[in-house]
Amino acid sequence: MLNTLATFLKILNSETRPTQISLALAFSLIVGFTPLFSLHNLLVILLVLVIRVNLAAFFFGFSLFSGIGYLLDPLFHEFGQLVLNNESMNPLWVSLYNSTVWRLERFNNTIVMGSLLISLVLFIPFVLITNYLLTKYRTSLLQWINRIRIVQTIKDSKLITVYRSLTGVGS
Amino acid sequence: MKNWIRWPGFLAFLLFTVAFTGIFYFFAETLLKAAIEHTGTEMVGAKVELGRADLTVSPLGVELHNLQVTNPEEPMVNAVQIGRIKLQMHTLELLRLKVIVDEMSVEKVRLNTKRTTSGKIAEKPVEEPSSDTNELFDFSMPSVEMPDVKDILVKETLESEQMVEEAQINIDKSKQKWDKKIPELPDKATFDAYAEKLKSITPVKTGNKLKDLEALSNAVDELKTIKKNIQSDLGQLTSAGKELHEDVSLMKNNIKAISQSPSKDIARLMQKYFPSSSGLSNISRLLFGETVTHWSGVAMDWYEKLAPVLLKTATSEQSEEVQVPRHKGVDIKFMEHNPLPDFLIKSTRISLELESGNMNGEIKDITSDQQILGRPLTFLFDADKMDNISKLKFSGNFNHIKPDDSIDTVNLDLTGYKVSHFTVSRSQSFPLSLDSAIADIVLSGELKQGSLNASLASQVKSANFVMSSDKKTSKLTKIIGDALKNVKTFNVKADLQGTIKDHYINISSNLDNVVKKAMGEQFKQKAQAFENELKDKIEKKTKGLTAKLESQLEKFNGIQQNINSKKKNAEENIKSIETKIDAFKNEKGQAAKNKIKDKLKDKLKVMFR
Repeated sequence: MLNTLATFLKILNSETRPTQISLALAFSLIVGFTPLFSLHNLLVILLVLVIRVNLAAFFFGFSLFSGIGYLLDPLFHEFGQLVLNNESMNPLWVSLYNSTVWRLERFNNTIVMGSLLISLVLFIPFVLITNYLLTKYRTSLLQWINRIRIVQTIKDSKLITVYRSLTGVGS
Repeated sequence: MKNWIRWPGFLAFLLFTVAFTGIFYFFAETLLKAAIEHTGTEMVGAKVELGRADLTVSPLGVELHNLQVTNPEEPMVNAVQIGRIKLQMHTLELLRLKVIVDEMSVEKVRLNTKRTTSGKIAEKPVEEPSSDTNELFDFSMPSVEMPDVKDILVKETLESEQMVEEAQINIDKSKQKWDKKIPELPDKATFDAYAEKLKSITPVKTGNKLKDLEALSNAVDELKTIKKNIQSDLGQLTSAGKELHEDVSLMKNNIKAISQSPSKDIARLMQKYFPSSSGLSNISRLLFGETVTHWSGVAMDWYEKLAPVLLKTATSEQSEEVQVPRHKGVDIKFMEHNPLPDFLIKSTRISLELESGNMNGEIKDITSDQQILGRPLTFLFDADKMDNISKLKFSGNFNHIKPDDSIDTVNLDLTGYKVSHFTVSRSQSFPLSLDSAIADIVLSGELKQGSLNASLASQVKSANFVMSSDKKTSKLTKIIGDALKNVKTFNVKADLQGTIKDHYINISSNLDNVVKKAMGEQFKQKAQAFENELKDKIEKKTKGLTAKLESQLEKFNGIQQNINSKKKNAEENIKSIETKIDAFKNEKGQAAKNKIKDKLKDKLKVMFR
């Protein structure tokens, strides 16, 4: 738990640009929410590796959103069922169903469809909000925290120096 | 923008993909082997083992070697052992998550092969054979020695004795009831009181015509009230009399039934201690029932295991719809331009290596969705060069195109089957076996919408029955054994009806007549003597008991007479009341007439004054 928190703080406080962190977290939201062995996740992993996003943030987000995704399973199923059974969208589903790539994607599975749609809908708002929050954090909160005397004392303490040398956190 | 692209990441992705595919391919055969063994074991309920699984990429195919399926009932025996299974799949269809196989070959199929290690799985509880089956076919041959009637009557509870006890309880209850009821009914004192009151009712005449008329009216009203009371008492007596009559009739009927019950007791005891030759007429059921039940059980067991795999029924589909496994979701099906089932093996060629020779067959259209394919599963096996069978043809058709109207049919035609050392009965008291024979067997079965209907006809010739004799075999067993030794040809017919879980097997054979004849006169005479003795003793016993009961019924005749005499008394009282009322009414009428006459006279006097 402490390590996770430390990792999270390390990501927040790193030199990485906020957009790189928020994009990585948004990609991890898709991989975490949707079933791992899905065709679209291969594309997401390709994007994560090719686009310069923060990989640590991606892995951190993946472990976080996998847990949340498991809890939201019934919601994804219900939503996927609702979308796939929608009469007006039936011609689209029929044409996709007859395409090999889309069948491999398993779009007709209620959880795949539900989780993918929800994570795609959340993607852009999530990037924007996370980006804004990160910028705010770094410009105001982080500086304020660093100015507090007790934090400076702790940071300079021997214990923290030893911990940093052992775990690599904050180095 | 350059800052945003991480080209080494692309390389990493390629490496990751290649590595993942490589690892998957490397372990694919092991994974496939494990999956087949795991699924098969779950399905059969005993170990399913696979020697090796080979995968080929182009064309995409699978080759399985040495598949062993343990017989769940005999863990050291493989029900089936298959040397090689080879199949090729449509790659494009597999990408669409459909397993489509044009042809599969199943070679070197052997049945009942020995295992080196036990194929039993710990979790699977061994099912005990049902007690019904054991009771049905575990029989002991009756003895021709006459059993002791006295002993039988001591240890057996006769139905007639039980009926006597019940009748006695009924009589006692009725006695108690009427002892309580009689005092509640109107008695002699009641009727005497009525008589006294009747005498006292006389209108008091004063000479005043108006008052006399009033007195007469009052007397009539009083009489009417008494009449009403007596009528109510009469009603009570009548209903009591009717109830008593019903009780007595019931008791009489009980006694009558007791007198008829010995015949039932005699029939039951005869059947138990001295079954008649007609009782043994269904000996064919006893002889062949175990074999027929065993094989029909084996067939149905395998049908139940394979049907969910080979034929996806509507019910299993419905249950999938209801239960949505967590994290799996539901795959919703849409219309396909070229509809194909999720799983289809168009043709499966099977070669069996049996002890008596080779047999070849073909199963067509094994699929999970007959509704989509529009064709039923069919199979045909035949052999004509086997050591102990002249000709064999086994065919079937499993039609589930319309799940609500499913029909499964199987036909077996076996000609010239050489039977040797076939144990007909394992019973120690009747150790019969068929040393050698030649049998023609025709079997046809149909399972229509869950309703099972099958028939088997077997014609056996050159039969050679052997009855092993030891100390336990009875005289009757020896007689039947000798008779069967002379039988060279016979037939056996079996009909099976019901459902897979609950069915009834009817077996008949012309051996029944042979056995019946063998029992002959000696059995008949002894049976008759036993029956006569039994009849004599039981009837004597029941006659004494019924006489006792009849004497107790006489008490109820006395009660009936009592009620009748009271009824008579009441009726007489009513009659005398009615006479008195008539007399008073006449007197009242006369008085009224006289009063009118007097009034007229007075008026005339006034007019002519």
